[in-house]
Amino acid sequence: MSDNNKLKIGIYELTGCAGDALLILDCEMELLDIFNAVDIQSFLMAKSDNIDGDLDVALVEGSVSTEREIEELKDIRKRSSIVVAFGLCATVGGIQARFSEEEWTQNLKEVYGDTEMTHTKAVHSKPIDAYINVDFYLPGCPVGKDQFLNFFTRVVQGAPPESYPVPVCVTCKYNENDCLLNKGIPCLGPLTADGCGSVCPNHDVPCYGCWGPAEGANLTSEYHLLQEKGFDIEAIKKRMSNYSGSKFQEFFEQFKNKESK
Amino acid sequence: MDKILAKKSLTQWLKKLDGYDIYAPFPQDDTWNYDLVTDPAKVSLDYLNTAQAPKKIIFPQREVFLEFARTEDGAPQMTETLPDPAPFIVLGVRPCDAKALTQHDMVFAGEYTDPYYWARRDKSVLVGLGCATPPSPNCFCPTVDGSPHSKQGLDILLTDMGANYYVEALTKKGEKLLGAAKTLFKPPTPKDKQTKEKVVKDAAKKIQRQIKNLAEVPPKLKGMFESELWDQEAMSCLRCGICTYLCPTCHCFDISDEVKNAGAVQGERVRTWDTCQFPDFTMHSSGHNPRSDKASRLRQRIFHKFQYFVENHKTYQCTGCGRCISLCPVGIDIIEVLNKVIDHA
Repeated sequence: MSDNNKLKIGIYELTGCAGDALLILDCEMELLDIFNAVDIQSFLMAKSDNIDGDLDVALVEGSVSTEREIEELKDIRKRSSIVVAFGLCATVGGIQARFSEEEWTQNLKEVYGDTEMTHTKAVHSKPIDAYINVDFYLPGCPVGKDQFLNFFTRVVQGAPPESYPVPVCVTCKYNENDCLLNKGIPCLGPLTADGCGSVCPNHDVPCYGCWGPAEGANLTSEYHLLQEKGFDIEAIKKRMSNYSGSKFQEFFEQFKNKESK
Repeated sequence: MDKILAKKSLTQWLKKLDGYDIYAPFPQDDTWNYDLVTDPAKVSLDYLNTAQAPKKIIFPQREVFLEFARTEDGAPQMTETLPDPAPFIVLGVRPCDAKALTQHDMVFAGEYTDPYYWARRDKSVLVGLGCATPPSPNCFCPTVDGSPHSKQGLDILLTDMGANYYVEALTKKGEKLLGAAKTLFKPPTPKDKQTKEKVVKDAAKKIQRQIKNLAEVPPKLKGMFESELWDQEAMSCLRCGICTYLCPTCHCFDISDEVKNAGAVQGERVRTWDTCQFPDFTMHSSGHNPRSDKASRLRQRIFHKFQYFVENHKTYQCTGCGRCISLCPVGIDIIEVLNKVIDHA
């Protein structure tokens, strides 16, 4: 079936819920277009005759949490011209990466005890750019349909994908929502990458940050703001680090140092 | 042309305005926003000010410039999508928001005339409502050369006199609206005129906030490009863009091609609002960004409004509505910033 003038694409899943890969299949109206426009070489969720050859574009979902995945990821990088971190887990490591190395070791021991792992060895969960160079990031939990289709179309047409260096607030303003922070509700919109259509604030639900950190987010200011609104450091930390993977850990480390001093 | 309209006759007047779409403020959650009137009986002008300025009706957040598609032989095919709205009335425009539209007019009819903007603007009739009480504790229109009953940019000004509106038709467009329901409008008595003058005078006194001496700001800013003030003031900015999105005078936009179909290329060229408060606003294709930090972006906002615009158009690009102050989640206050500029050594 290989059609030489079409882009060769591979879709891979590491540790995650597979929601991002599922989102592609959920593009029901566009699915025929997608499958016709490119040559999908590997897509475990959608087909059985998968080929692990050279690729133009690899979409990688999920975080890296075992040694086998590290090898798999490095192999994908070697075979692909463009690697895309596809979804929150691949971009920042996801919920499973929110712990420090120390906490993770403790958790592993608590859950698995002394059980010997023969299949592969677990490692502390990390985003894929901890191991390989990543060309493009498409965050989201799962990625947004519009963002994906926009990205996909641009790549297929040989155009560079658009970046979204703005927070959720932008779309939230578009949708004419009242600012939840101004109402004293702990919204993470200003810290979170845009792309969801501000779906939570549209329904008066504060943003939980599931798109991961927005580029250049002002953590200090959001932290002080939430503190002013009456939330304590633990509550803020819990909220802010839910979906930010390892990215906000450094920020909270400074409080630890202050406390110990 | 001055007239008196009983408040209870407002609905009847609106019902007579055939051939116009009418936009009026409606309560929406905890705020008021403009929406199309479907039932004139539901219109109430008992509001402070809308969250969004009425600029969005004339200059929408997103508008399609053209549709494009690739034909079978590969040639692009483009279809222009100029808007062609019915004449429309915007009811209850606050004077600050009307004045802001006159500034949009300067921008969109400068070197180039923007056909998309004017297609709507030419069809608009603005019926203003003076502010008998300040709509916001952060209003400061008098210090930016405005007033709570300014007529600038309006076709009709309504002044709230309790049971009646004092109606002033300021343009031909405005007079036409009064002509549509002649029997509802009574000539004002000398006493009405006195009452109106008193309302106007009292309203100006009720404005709580002011900039010390704004005339000092434009020349002073010239020497403050590198000031540390911008770093200090922008420190807490969350980069949400509220200040510029809700600003009645901000008019910056982006144009992009939205393609949604992976196979056959087809899509739309759209204009969307953009703001100097976002880092990608000035991002060059080389990757260089001349305004890469928050401080330079806040500085741009102040410089554009109180220096560049003054040089280019001889007026401040701010009408004192106070939205950016009231709604900034971290309390960045443009009046305070300007007062600090004035005090700056």
